Amino acid sequence: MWNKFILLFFLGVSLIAQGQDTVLEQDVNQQLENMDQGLGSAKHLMASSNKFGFYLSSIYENDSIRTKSGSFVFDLGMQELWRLGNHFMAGYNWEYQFNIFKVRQDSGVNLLSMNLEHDKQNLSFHQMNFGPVFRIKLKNKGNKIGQYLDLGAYGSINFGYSLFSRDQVDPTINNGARTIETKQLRLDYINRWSYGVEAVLGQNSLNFWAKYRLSNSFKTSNNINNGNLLPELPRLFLGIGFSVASIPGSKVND
Amino acid sequence: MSTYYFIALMNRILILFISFILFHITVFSQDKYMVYFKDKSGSTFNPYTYFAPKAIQRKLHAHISMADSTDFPLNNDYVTAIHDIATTTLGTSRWFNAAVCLANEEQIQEIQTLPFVKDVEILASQKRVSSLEIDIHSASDFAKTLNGQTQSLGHPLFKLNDYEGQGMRIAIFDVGFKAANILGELHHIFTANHVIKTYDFVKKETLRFDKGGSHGTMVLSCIAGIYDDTNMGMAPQAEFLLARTERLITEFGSEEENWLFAAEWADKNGADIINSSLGYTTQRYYQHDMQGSTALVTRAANFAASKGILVISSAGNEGTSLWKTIGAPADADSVLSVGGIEPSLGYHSKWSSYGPTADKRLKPNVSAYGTAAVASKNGVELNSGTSFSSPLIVGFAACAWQAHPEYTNMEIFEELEKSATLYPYFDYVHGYGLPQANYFLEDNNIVKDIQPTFSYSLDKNILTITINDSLESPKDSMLLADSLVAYSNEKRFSVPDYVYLHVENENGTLDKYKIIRPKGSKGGSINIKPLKGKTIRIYYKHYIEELYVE
Repeated sequence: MWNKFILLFFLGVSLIAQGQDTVLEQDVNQQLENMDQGLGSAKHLMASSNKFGFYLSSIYENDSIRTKSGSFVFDLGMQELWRLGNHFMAGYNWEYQFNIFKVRQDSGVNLLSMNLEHDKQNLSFHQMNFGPVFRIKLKNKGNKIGQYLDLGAYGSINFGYSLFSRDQVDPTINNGARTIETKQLRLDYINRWSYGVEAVLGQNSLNFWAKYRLSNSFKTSNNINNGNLLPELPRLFLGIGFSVASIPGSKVND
Repeated sequence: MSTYYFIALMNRILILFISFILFHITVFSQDKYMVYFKDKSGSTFNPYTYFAPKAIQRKLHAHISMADSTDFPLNNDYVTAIHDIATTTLGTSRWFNAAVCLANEEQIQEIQTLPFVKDVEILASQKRVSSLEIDIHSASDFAKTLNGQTQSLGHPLFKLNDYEGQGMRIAIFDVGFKAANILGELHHIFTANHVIKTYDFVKKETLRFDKGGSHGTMVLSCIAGIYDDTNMGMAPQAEFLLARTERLITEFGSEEENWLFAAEWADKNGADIINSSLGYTTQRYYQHDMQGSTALVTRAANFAASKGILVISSAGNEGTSLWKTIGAPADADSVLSVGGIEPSLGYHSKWSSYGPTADKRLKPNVSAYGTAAVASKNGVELNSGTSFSSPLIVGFAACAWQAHPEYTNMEIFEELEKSATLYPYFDYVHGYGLPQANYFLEDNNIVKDIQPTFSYSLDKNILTITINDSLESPKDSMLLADSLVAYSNEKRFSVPDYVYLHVENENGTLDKYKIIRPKGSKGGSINIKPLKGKTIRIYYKHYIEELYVE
């Protein structure tokens, strides 16, 4: 045993004595080969995303819920992409999404309490989206991200549902109250899972996006609407977004 | 908070966000363009009323024509026509015969159809100020750095011979010169009225010392500052033209054209030297664009050099980033690019940008301290970046040129390279090393007998370097200046002598280079088997050996 230690000790001393202390070494050809790894041609990109959007009212399906202006969707998330040749990238998105549906009460298609029109009725819920994305690089401008089209799909888990309603009432018959607000939580009739497709047209940090939800928002069987299907929520959202891209492990960002 | 109020709040946030986005779209649907004209027909020019006497003197000395068409003013009708179509005109360039304007897609298409328009180029980039902050420094580091930043270039020799930049005019382009006029370290410049002119090219007005960044103030102090009777820079007696060409904070579309306008202004007002501690890199350019003719600021710098001005630029601080290489205008062939060395180590600061240029020309050309004592509105402190290496060399160059007024700008450029510690050895992080004052004060025609400081042997394709430390180092005699001032070892960093080795290919460019710290007589080794047809050069203490691998 001791013999081995002694042998290792002398081997170590010998190596230290023989070794040269190279404080800087640079292979120029390798350095030049690694050039041009900017945002426009990066092998690997990460990007934050911040999106605001609206439910498009002009193409509602028949018997779907109409929403008022002020309804919106807000996303906050991340994207990671890898280069596939000079013109394509692929990767994944994940994002948190907050939805507010301000339900119109005069459209004849109401969410709940079909026979009662509220002054206000808002359905809100949160969701976490995750899905693949495929990027087509349309035009790079210098070393920037340039113009691109992202095509993707997403699956979501929905949570934190609430249905809020507000009514102005006669205080003389409502214990002196002029306004009655009610909030219903943990709504059993909303599907926990959803899925859809999306497209993003972007230029550098700014983008326009569209999402189409393929799944239904409400469960097919429930006991709140006499067993009938609830009218569906809008499926198409359009919006504008802001994204900051960077190359992992570098200072390069856009 | 009830859901109702939460929603009301979210609505307000939404409106604010939409307003921001609309503003974003409005502003950024327009781009900045450089519109080049075909001719300057109808313009007249009197150089003797346009140029300052100092500029005329420089041009005559450099045998530059006073009737150069690139100095003629633009055709006013052309500029007016652009102004009428574009959203706004930001300025004009005599050198490029061009106007810079802000325009949208439709407007620029209309401009392109004008018969006198030769070409249109889109401009947009983002600058990097070439400085880094380092938080912790000891008082001992401060004293050693303060002393070393000029003495490492041989400053005492220049000072002893009264070369302190007298009669030299230096233009500094930077992000602002806040508090420069009230700092004690720069007081002598202002009391001597050596700030000849100032201009803010961002705001198009006279420069204000109470606003903007103080990066330019720090740069100025590295050329001419004096702290507690110690020189921070080597040219305290020089004259200055101060130009603000950039905003401090990163802007969405930066102003390379301001650099060009400032260069024309500096030429007009008699600048001998321009210092640029700004680098333009990732936002518009790829590394392959750093080949000396793409970036507007690079072309402007070469133009300034063609007017007889010595242009000196920081190499950049991208050494540890993905960009890694130098930024514009340090890639210009007529710009003296300066890399940074780590004072406590004596070789390359890891963040200092690497050469060569994309077309494999040597950059940086020379080096100086990458960490320096600088004066700012917060007082005198240590700060790091090639932003400060560049002005240290500017101060040096002013003294060298003062000592040799017979040189033209490109001649002094070459002499600065020749004076450097490693010359004729070079690599792509140090260039030729640190310029030395003694070179400009000695008769360089005398052939110096430099004794070999090392030897090498070959055994089975392994080249082994053996240090011969018994000989007197030529470097010791070069630092003779040390004895001329109270200059003890405690006041400067003690750094070892390194072995430098590079491998040059048949095209004259380097394939690899390394720096070895010798251990006793062992100076390192290299396997030459894969290096057939290439040239190896080894440098140690001013002695160079060269061998061709057959």
